[in-house]
Amino acid sequence: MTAAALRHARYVVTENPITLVAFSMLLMLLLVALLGPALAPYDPLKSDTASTLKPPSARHWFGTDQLGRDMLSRVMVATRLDMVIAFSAVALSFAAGSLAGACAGVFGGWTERIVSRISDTIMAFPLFVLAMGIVAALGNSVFNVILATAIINLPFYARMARAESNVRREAGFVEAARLSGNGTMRVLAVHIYPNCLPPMMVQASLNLGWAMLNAAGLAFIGLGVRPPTPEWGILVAEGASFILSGEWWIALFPGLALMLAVFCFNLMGDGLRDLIDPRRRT
Amino acid sequence: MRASFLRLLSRRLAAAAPGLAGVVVVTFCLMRALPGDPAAYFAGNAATKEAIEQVRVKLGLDKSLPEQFAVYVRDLARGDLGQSVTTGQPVRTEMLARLPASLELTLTALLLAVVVALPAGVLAATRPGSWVDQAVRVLTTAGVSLPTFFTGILLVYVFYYLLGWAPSPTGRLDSLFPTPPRVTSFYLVDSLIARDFETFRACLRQLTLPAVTMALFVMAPLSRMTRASMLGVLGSDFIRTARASGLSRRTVLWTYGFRNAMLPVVTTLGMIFSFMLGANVLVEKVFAWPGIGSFALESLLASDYAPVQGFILVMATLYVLLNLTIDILYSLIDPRVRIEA
Amino acid sequence: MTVAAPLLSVENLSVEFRTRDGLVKALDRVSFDIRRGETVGVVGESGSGKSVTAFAIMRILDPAARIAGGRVAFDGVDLVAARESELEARRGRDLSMIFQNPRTALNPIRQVGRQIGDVLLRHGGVKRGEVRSRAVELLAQVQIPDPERRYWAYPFELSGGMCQRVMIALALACGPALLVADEPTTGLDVTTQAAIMDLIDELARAKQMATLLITHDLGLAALHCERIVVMHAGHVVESAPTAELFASPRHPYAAKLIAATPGPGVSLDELAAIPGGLPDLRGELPACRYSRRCERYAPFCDEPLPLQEMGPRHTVACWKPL
Repeated sequence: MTAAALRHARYVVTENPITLVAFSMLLMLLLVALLGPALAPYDPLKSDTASTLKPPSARHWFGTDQLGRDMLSRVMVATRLDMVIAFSAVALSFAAGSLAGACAGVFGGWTERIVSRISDTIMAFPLFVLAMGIVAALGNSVFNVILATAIINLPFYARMARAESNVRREAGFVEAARLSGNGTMRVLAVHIYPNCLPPMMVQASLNLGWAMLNAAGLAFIGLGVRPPTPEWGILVAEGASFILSGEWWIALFPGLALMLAVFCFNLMGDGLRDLIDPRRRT
Repeated sequence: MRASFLRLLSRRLAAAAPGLAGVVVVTFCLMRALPGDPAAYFAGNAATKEAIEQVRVKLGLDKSLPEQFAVYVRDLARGDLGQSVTTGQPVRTEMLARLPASLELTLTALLLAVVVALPAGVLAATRPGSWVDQAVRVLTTAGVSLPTFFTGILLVYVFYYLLGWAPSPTGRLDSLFPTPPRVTSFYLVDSLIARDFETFRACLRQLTLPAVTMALFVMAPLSRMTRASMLGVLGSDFIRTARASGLSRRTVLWTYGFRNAMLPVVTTLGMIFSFMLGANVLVEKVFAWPGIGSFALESLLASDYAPVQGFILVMATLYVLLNLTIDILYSLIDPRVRIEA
Repeated sequence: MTVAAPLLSVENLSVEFRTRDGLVKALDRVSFDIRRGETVGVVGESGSGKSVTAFAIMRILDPAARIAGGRVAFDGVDLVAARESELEARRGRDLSMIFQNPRTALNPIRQVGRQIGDVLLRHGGVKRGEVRSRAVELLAQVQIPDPERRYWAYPFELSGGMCQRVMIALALACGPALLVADEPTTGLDVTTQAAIMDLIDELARAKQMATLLITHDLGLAALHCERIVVMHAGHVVESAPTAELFASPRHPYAAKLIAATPGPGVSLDELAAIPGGLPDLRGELPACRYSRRCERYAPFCDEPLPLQEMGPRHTVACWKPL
């Protein structure tokens, strides 16, 4: 990286110490996700009927649930699943969407029409409702949650990639390449596609938070990931019924963990955006 | 002007048609793929194979898929959304009965969000970089990060369990109070029409927490968009001209700044409404709100697909209509779109 | 014989900008004055500080800018020290400004007539019911055809030239004593340029209005200004009556500028380019910001700049004037 880019990066970081904090918290979460079960003090699935519904204490930092399972362990182990779902879904929709969009932008014609039609159809639905329908239709599994989340995020990437590659197509990249003997596919792969990526990176990091909330929301209403698999949404759902009787810790800690992760993703996305394209700062 | 407006309207409607068609097709495919056998469910636990087969024929499930689709579209055209297996009622009746509850909740939440987010965004934009601006940024980022269902639960815990300020989250109206006589089906409006202020207050109390829950999430994108838009507009040339002409701060901010800044905010409203239509399901579950969202959820978990189908269709249609309204609203505000149409 | 006090007197005005890369000293002790009814041109390369001067006078600088010193005396009042409420009252009424790019300088979603009306309501002492007719009158004054209908037009429906006329109407609505025109004809085609400048001249004469014309087009300044102020890198290097300046410029930079301006009969290969570029306005700067580009440079040029009187109302900031 050039000296100017580094200086710019340092400027952004010092202007936004919050970004730095978010980044470090995210690293911490990723660490927990990677090490997961190894870090957890108890077996998240093991129930202990002697100590059910115990509030947070020195033994159980996050308390125990109605089956005596340690909440801290459950929350920690759930980190991996939620992270996996979020990253996979975004990676999938990023890859598929950007490719489809770039092809649509460069080739035009029927390719563009099909991609647009699919995008529009997806966008005609309130997205969470569509995700509900897809998971319900395809069955409750982690893969289907990832697939559903990826599908509903597809149009964002497709549209962005299409716009970016359209600009380049109009600018004559394709013609110039053809004239110098390169095939269109090569032009697409080497010149156009890589240039579409930076703004979409920003979109991707913001999408991570949204994907996570989506998955948790689906789990909350009983779709996708099913108990006893620890997942933050499920944990909140399980804790919801106990809130009215005062056992707040069962729902609170998973909810806070979820919120923290999404918050970090969003702050990161903002920081990335400031880094890459300060004009679009909101 | 009238003619061009009609032309605009018809053009937008035509553009929306393929979207709706796509929705119908996709919904049909999704619902046919649902697990579970509605015929068996409908026939009952003790039914024999022949009885189930009879029910299957009765429900039209023995026909081929394209045939079923044709029947489906034909029924839709007549306004027939099918029958709910779990309640035995036509889906249309159920939807109509429950839609006002969902709409009342969503619209109240939207109003709340707008009333808070817009001024906050303007405030942050007039003091860029200040602590007010930073605070709004952090709060809105936090707001966007909150899972709606979690916020709801948290609010119930704090305001109902701990503080006792809010009523128990058991629906639209405490059973102590009579439901107001039906005029619009919006309890708030109806109770005011009937001049029953006790009931009005009770309805408002029940509505507060769920509406706040939903509003919290959308306040974030709204205020961010307002702030960004205002900042962009305030830096533009015509604001400089307005200042150079000595127009008062208020005129510059509101007549010249805010009105221009509202354009992208109006388009954001579409995205926001889309989110709210989805969040409906979550919020209605947490607060036991008798809207179409909770109905769809219950039906889904019982493999009763007609209501779910109807729910998806209604939501998507509402969304399409809403986008249409927003388009029209936008063209009313921005003459460049209107006149070139 | 007593000379009337000038309408506008800029005295040692210095402006700085805070940027990511440090403090930019955009203006350094700029001084000149304008008498009532006089047309003065401020010329210089892009980046010489002409527009910054105009914005500083109107007090509509960017928030990142700071007036580091000097005063701007307008009609006896120091605009630098004045409160915002006083400035708001004067802008549009006593002194007003027109800008480059007239289309973007007008509110895109508000009819042009109503924009003029806003200014009339604010300062013009016009009753609500008369605002519309007064605005239409103003539109007619700037020679917009069919002003009654054009009152309801939006900026995007008008050509660049028409938009500039609307801006002029807006600026002149309340009869200000000074009009600051920042590159009013850049971006317009040549015929429209001439028409707009003629319109400004005519209105200025009719209303006894002083004009400050900011431009990089020396030829334009020569045609329309009585006096010219030449700027370079935030300094005023020479200020003189137009005829004198063109006949015998005394500052090396001004001379080069004039030599570089094509005129009738001058062929392109006779045009002399000015070597070097504008200095970096951050960090340490020499006393004379032109010295590093000047072939007449001598060690004593690093002394603080003098202001030499070359004749009545003709000053030069140079140790070795031509």
